[in-house]
Formats: sequence, C-alpha cells, structure tokens
Amino acid sequence: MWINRVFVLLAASGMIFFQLAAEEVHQWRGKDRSGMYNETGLLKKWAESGPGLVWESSQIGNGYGSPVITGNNIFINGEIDSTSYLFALDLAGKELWKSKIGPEWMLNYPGARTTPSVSGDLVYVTTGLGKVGCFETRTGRQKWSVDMISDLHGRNNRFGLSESVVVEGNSLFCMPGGADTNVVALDRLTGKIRWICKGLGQIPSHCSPLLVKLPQRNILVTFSQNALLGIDIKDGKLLWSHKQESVGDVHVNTPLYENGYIYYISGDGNGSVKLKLSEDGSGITQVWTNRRSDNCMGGFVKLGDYIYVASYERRYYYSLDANRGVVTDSLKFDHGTVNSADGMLYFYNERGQVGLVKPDGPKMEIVSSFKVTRGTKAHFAHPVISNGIMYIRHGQSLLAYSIKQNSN
Amino acid sequence: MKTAILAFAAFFLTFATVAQELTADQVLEKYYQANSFDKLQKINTIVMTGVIFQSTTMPIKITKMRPERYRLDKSVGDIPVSQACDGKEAWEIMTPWTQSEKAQPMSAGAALDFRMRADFDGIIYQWRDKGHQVELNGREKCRDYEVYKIKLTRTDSVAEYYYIDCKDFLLRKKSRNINSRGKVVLNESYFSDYKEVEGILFPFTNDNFVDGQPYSTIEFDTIELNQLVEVELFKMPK
Repeated sequence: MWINRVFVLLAASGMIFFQLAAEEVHQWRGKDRSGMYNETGLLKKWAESGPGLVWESSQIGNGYGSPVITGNNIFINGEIDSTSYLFALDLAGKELWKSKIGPEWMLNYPGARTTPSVSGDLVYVTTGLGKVGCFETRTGRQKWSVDMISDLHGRNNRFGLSESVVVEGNSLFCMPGGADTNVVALDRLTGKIRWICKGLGQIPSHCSPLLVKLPQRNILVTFSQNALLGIDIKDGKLLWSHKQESVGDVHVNTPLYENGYIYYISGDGNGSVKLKLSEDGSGITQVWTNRRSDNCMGGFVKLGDYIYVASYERRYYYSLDANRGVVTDSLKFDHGTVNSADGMLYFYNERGQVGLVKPDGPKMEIVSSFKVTRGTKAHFAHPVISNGIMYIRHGQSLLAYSIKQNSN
Repeated sequence: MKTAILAFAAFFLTFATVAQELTADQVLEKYYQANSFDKLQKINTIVMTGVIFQSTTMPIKITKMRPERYRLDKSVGDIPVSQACDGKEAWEIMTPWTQSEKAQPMSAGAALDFRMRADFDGIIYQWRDKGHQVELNGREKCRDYEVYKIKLTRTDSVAEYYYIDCKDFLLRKKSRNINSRGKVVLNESYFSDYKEVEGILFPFTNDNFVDGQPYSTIEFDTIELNQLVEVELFKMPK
C-alpha cells in the first residue's frame, strides 16, 4: 500500500539524517578540537634520543597542516609546485591515493596550512587560496568543490585562508570573509549554500572554529579580523561577538568550551580570555583576561582547573589558573604547540624540540625531550596522537613515532 | 692620624683618577685581550648556526671566512633569504620581496655596509690601519652593566657606537642609525650569553631593537671554528 511506501521512505530518510548527524568527525586537534587525545598506556618517559621513529613519509607535499587519522587511514594535504593535493595514506605511511585540490598559497609561509575533516566516507579540505573540496575517502574522487573567493565573494588575508572546516550533521561551515558572505553553511553532500551569515563583515582571521553544543542550539565560535563571533548554526544568526582591543588580525587558536564557559587565547588580540556563555547561548559576559598569556597559533589545553599554553613574546610555556586567569608557572622551552594525552602534555616548539611534560596542577615538569631533525621548513604543525603513535608533520615529511608503553 | 687619612685620600683620588682616565686605545686594547683577538688571528672560518626569533622562530646560519667573506642564510615567512659578500661583490637573494630566486647585486650603499660587516675581526680591530676614527665618549649604564662608550666613525662617515663592559671588557651593545624604508632609525644590538669556543669568547645571544622596540633575537646553538668551507659559497650564483 502507498502508506507503507511513504512510511518506508520516511524511515529511510530519517535513518540517513540520523546517520549524518551521528557520524563521528575526525578533525583538527581531535575530538571537540580540544587538543586532547583519548589515549591510554602511553610512555611516561622517553629514551634520551626520543621515541622510536616507526616510519617517515616524505611524499606528502609541503605544508603546516596536521594529519587526521581515522580507523585505517591518514589524510593530509600538502603543496607540490604551488598546487595543493589531498593524500590518503594507510597506517604504515603508504600512499593510497592523491587528489588535486587547487592552487595553494605561496606568498609567505608557502604550503598547505589546514587539516582535513573526515565524516563518514567523505573528507573535506581547504586551501590557502580558498578552495573547499569534498572527496570520497575510499577513492579520492572529488565529489564537489566551492571557491570561497570567486564563488562566495570572499576575501583573503595576510597569511592565506587557514580554516580547518567544521562539519556537523549535513552541514559544513566555512568563512569566506566577504562583506556580506562572511560565514557560510554548505550542504556537505552537494556544496550548495544552506545559509549565509553577514557576521561583522570582516576578513577571516586564520581561525579553525569550535562547535559548541547546547540543549537549545549549536553555536559556531570563530574569529574574524578582530572579533570572536558566536553564530547559531541552525540559521546563521550572529548571536554575539567579542571585540579584540588591538589592531592585530591573527587570531588562529581554536577556542575551548567547558561547563558554560568559552576560553580563547589570541596573542594578537586580547590575550587569554574566559567568557561566560549564557545558558541558551545567546550572550556572553567576560570573566577575565590575561594579556601576558599571548599565544599566537600553538593552541592550548585545559586539564582540570589549569590551562597550558606557550607565551609567544616571552617564549616560555605557561600554566594558567582557569578560575582566576593568573599565570601559576612558567617553563623555559621556547614557544610552540600544546597537546595532551594520557595525563601528559606534549609541547612541540618552533626550534623543533618535542617535550613530554608532566602537569601537576599549577606546576609543569619537563620529563623528556628530543629534537625533530627530519623534514623541512618551520616547525608549526600540531602533532596528532592516535593509537599509541605520535604523528608530527614537518614540512614535506610526516613522521610517526611510537609512544606506546612496551614499544621502545 | 690626620696624615694617614690624607695619605689614604690621596691614594684613593689617584687610583680613581687613573681608573677614569683610560684612553680609547687602552679600552680597546683590553677589549682585544678579553676577546682573545690574538687567538682569533689563527682562525680562518667561523660557522654559526641557530635560530632567529622575529614573530616566529626560523633557522639562521652565518658563515665567515678571513679576510672579508661573509654569508647570512635565514628564512623570512619560511622562504629562504641569503646575503653574502666574497670580499669584492655583495649580493642577495630576497625572494619574499622580489618573488625571484635569482641572486641580485646589493645596492651601492647596502653593499658598502655589508662589506664592513664582512670584516672577519670586526672593523674596530686595527681600526687605525683600516682608516676609521675612534674616540671615547665616557661611561654610561647599559642594562646591568657599566660600559665605556666608544664612537667609531667609519671611512664612509657612518658612526657606530660600541659599549664595552668596564669590568670584563666584553662587548655588551652596539648601536648606530640605519636607513630603513626611507626613514632613519636607531638600531641597537645587545650581546649576551658569552661562552668559550676553543678558548675564545663568543656571544651566543644577540637581541636587536629598532627605535627602542624589540625587533629580533638571534640565539646560536653552535659556533664552529676552522670548519672546511668552500670559497664558492660566497660567490654570487649565476
């Protein structure tokens, strides 16, 4: 009967929708983009020469983006002869496929600067010149692409568009940074526009956004040129903004949300900041700021009541009391990225040194360190930890170090 | 008692006067001794590698060869930049600004300045023979140090100032006006973290300021002496 067919059709649609909504997203800085990797059984101390290097792939093109690791695959983008490519590798570092994305940013710090996002059997990636591409994970076949500059009237910035896109449900969110098409939601299966948010009409600010999930609404939190924005992902409504009291336009770090509070750190803006998010997400109140904690692009993690981050200007790592916003300890280890796994901190500084650090509330103690000597160019890419392996991308090389206990 | 006090006062005044009255030549002689310039004459090459912090941290390498070969390799925006002098010709590869990887001769003014930088022992060593002028401009405070201020006027009339520690005669600071994008600005370099390399003291940290604002910091990881260096390294690539 027809009603049975309608019922089956509805049920199937619901299942597809539910499936899309429930897809785990493998993305920049791990689950919730917090920089924390859910691992256990990792080494609490390394050998003097560092953890063992399991493999190196130096065929991934040049860049500063991190890899993203799914169950069986690694996805990473890199630039070769001014063109950005998306690579799929197996967990032994062997290339499975390579697909062209488009021209890459070469003006300064040339190379790929974003991390792919994987949802189900599709992987999404962007270039510094604004191409957003959707590819099949199995074959590398491009499903669709959109040019944020030419198709969405976007504008570029000082160091190239650097957004690792957020994917949620059946949507993908990106910031072309146009005066009117400032933040856009695309249908992630087709690339068609779902909504446009005018934001504050500012150019993008190199930020990879955070998605905050509340009972009433989900909020995309990101930076434009000199403001933090909170956008309702249902319809693109700009809920609130937090102005930066400086002329700097480099606000790279993904913010963090926890228990009703948003934390962000922008060395080019207000420094370290804690905001209280209203229960329905429609408003914010500033709790504290600390300009001394001024990280530029290394990210930060929060463990318990403390935030761990590198200071850019002073080239020390700091711990911050997250309740009061005061620096409680400093560690001389230049400046760079921060990640966490299995209760330890992982610092990777711009001199190429990787530090394994024991956090003890307000205090930090460096336990082991080694220097990354393989690869090329600047040490900017954020490490990724998955299944006992620490992946470090250094320019044209992806290095896989074994950090599992009983492995070295 | 009165005699003893007077004698002590006379001794003290004499000593103080003598201490204040070092001439420029005497200050520089002590500076040469403190920095082992006699040992430096046996060194033919110096290779210094480290990092330069200027917003981000990038590698830097300085290679020097006696008498006047000098090469600076670093990155700007992670794009390689090189400046060098082979004793005759000064050239540079400034890809971030020129969008070209081709070496270009430096402008006349920049070349003259760079050739002075390429002087292996520094232009202040045997300055008289090199045609420069030197005068002592008294003492002053320089961060935590009391220093002698030596003014060196180069043969091209550019004035450089050397701030030499009154106690240990190490160089603590250098300053001069430079032309930056059509504007005259004060460039100051502070030298610290002195370490011995084969019996010669070298500053491993160099903090640079422009018009009083932090500009860059260079930190050397290694300084190697008498390494094998090819002369071709300093010649302008065709």
